[in-house]
Amino acid sequence: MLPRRFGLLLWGAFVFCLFASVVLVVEAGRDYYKILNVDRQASQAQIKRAYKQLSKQLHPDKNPNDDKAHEKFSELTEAYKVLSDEKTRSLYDQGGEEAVKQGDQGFSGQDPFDIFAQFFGGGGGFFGGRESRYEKEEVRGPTIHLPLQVSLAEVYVGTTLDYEVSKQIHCDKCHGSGAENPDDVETCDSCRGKGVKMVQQMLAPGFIQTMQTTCNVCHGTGKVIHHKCSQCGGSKVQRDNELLAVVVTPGMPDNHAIRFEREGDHSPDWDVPGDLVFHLKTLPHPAFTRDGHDLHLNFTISLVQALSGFETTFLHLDKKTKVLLKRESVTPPGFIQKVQGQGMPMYNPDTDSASGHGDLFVHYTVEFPQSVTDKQKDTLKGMFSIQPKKPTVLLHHDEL
Amino acid sequence: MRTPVGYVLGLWLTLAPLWTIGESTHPTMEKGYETVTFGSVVKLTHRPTQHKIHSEDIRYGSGSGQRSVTGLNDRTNVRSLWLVLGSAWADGDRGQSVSCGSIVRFQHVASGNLLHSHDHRSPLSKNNEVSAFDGQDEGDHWVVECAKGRTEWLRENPVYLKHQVTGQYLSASNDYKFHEPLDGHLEIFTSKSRGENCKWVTQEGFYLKAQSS
Repeated sequence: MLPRRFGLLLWGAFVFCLFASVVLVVEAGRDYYKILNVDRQASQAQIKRAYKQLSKQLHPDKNPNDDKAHEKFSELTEAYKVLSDEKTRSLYDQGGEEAVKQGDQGFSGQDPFDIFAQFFGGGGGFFGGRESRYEKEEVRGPTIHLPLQVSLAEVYVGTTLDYEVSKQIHCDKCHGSGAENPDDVETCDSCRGKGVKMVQQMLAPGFIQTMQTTCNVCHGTGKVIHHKCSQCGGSKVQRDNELLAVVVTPGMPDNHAIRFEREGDHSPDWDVPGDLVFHLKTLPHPAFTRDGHDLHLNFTISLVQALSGFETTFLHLDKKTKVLLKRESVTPPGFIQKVQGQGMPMYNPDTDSASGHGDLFVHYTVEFPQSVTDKQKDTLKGMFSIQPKKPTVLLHHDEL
Repeated sequence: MRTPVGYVLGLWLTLAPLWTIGESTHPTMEKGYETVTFGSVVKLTHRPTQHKIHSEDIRYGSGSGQRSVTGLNDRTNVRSLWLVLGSAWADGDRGQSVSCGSIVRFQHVASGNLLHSHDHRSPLSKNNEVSAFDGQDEGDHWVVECAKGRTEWLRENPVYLKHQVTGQYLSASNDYKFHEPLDGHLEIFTSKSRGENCKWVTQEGFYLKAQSS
């Protein structure tokens, strides 16, 4: 009896250990979904977008003071590599990181910067920090300059403009090689990969000229493709749509440039896509005009208000704040009142944020009555008991 | 032995490539971005030839002598970008979908000039000339004519662009190609009749999300 019970216990312990080890493996593995900040049901487009955004943030070139930047970036890229392929993703979903590693021997071999480069082109660096990876000088695509039309109210409170960018990217099947398989790209035999050939031409008997010409087999690329990529037909590129949010920070000055590095078109003609630059164009506002950090507002009051003082409010550009305008003495036409701290937010380009406000200048216009009755005239004369001013002043005005 | 499933599969395999060759091969658009909106920057593609409306800093040697407008077969050229404006800019227009039948203006992003047409003879086909005009008048107005049943100008779908003043249609043809200094560019002109050569599609570009009005 006892040995049998003991055997059962042993069996139970074994099963427990087995389960525990599986749990441990999963526990020990990293959560790729968490790293990419997406949920487990995320679509491929969401995964792609998350990687694109995070890879820019975590890139070591952007975080030169962080010792772990390289590690974080590699981890992110690894997560993306696994989840962006449905085959490795399902392996991961079932058995975690270990299962993926067992299923694919060459799993961790790829340089994370190569994957980054597929998204942004070039050698994976932002500011030329990794240009040494390339022997020849990088050819950049053209910079795209675009107008960004915003209202003054939008610049006052800040806004985000959502775009879908329809552009040309490297073919996502062949990653811009143009070949069906990496093995299909071979060094051109005709020029031995140099892209150029020496051609001898007989000008006259005994006179031979040697000239260098572009290789006619590979057209100067130095490489020959045996089987063209079935997705792009060898063109190396395809069309793609990507979302792009352009954030307008409160107080940004007119013509301010909002730059997105390497977000231009991909092309076999250049190594690195050009930048995308939006230029802020503030549309004229019917009431407010901007002068640097200050605002100017034209405000009309009645003659009675001009003479007897007033207390009124107006709705500011944020359509929420009610600003108090108060005067006790006479307000002549053209009078300018300064309201402190009610101007534009003061934008700091170094921090891309605003702190404090400029001032508001209210320019008063006085609305005079269309006509005055004789009775009103008498009352007015009685009220103000007007003393005729010294004629010198009037003459002075006439001279003008 | 062949099963019906096999036949269906066989049929599908023969027909599937035909569908992909058709016009619908474009990347999927996110919800809310399917229409052309005011304030978007687009490349206008001539459907039959895939050339994009383009403008170089070169003036016509004949006709109006204004800045030339040509068709260029290149997806990535930055001088093929045009900002979609209404007939008169109003504050609330940005992000509104362009409805069929409404007037639009196209501002060339690189030069700031407007897509324009008038009675001047075009250099090659001798139709009405299309230029990039540096002034502003009614000659910059284009009416969007969509396919039947449509209410809004949809991306990746062909439209006709009718010049409001002359009533003629924006057009290009493989028969009218320039030589130096615009080698291989197509002439852009307006034509009296409305045919395949008057179909334009917005493909590449920067599309603002449609505002719910």
